Amino acid sequence: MLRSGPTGARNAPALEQINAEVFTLTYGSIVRQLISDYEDIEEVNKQLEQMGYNMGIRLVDEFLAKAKISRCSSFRDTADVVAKQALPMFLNVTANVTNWSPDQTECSLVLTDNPLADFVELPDEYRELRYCNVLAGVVRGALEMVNMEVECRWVSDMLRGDDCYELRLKLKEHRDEKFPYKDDD
Amino acid sequence: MGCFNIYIFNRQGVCIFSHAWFRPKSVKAGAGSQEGDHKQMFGLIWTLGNFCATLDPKDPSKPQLGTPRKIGQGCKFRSFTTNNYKCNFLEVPSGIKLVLNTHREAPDLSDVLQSLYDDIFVEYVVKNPTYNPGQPFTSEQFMNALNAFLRQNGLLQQQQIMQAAA
Repeated sequence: MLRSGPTGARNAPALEQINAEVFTLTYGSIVRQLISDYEDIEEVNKQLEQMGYNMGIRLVDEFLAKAKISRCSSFRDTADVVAKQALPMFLNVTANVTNWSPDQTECSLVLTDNPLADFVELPDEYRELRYCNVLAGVVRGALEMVNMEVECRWVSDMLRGDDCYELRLKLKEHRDEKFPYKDDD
Repeated sequence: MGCFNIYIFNRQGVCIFSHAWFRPKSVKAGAGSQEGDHKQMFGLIWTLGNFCATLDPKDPSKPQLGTPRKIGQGCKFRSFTTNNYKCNFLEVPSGIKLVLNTHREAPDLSDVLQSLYDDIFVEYVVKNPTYNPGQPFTSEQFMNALNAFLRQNGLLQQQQIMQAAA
């Protein structure tokens, strides 16, 4: 996410960075604008998630290109890649992958630091706002592009007084690659 | 050394980009239509990929031909050569497939295709705000970057000679 457009320079894999405060404040003003546009917190949560999703389906290609990853075959490995490679690359934070469900289809990404929410305080009237919902959307969009349909929701949020940020991932379907055409067409 | 043509497919089998630098045999004489041509190419790489994974002598869990597979399961083919041309192939986990048909003496182009994806496709297509993910696109910028990239890798040099010889 901390990335601007193409530079024109070839063979320049280093990530361009932007100032973290500019990033944080820009995100904050997007959220602020959504609140005044929609006037309904549930709708704002939904919009943030949708914005994240749209980012995620593009971001995955950039991530795969920069991280030189050629396969993500299991959900377990993929969750690790998100926590240990993707989050550091785009947000400059790492997450821990914990709380695996016994059937290995649910896990939590736990962040103790979240640049999206620096300088943020949630007033009481916005208690229901999922401030970082864009991140849930990004993860959902990116994983969808590698055939994993996941449900992402925030279960803890430091802005609401919890002691960490916890994003719960639930694998709904790990799709197979299938031939997209029918034999007879 | 030269390239004949390129195709880029997405996971849904839609050809989102194709270009021919040198193709004396018209599409009409081959598959009949542009769509037919794309579909045949996609079918070829799909089926070939399946066969390669099924016949893999090193993989203990050989999948049966035609059984559904997850991304990254089984081995991948990278190219095949005929007496006329060489077909180079790369698939990335997000389902993008690159097919580049070249002169048959071309060396191993896996790294070239990988950096074509990393440095050209991602930079000029994915990051282009007007690109609609999964939809066919045309982009002059991408085309220029692609030409420059292939020239840099020595893959477009003898184009004129080949054209003159045709």
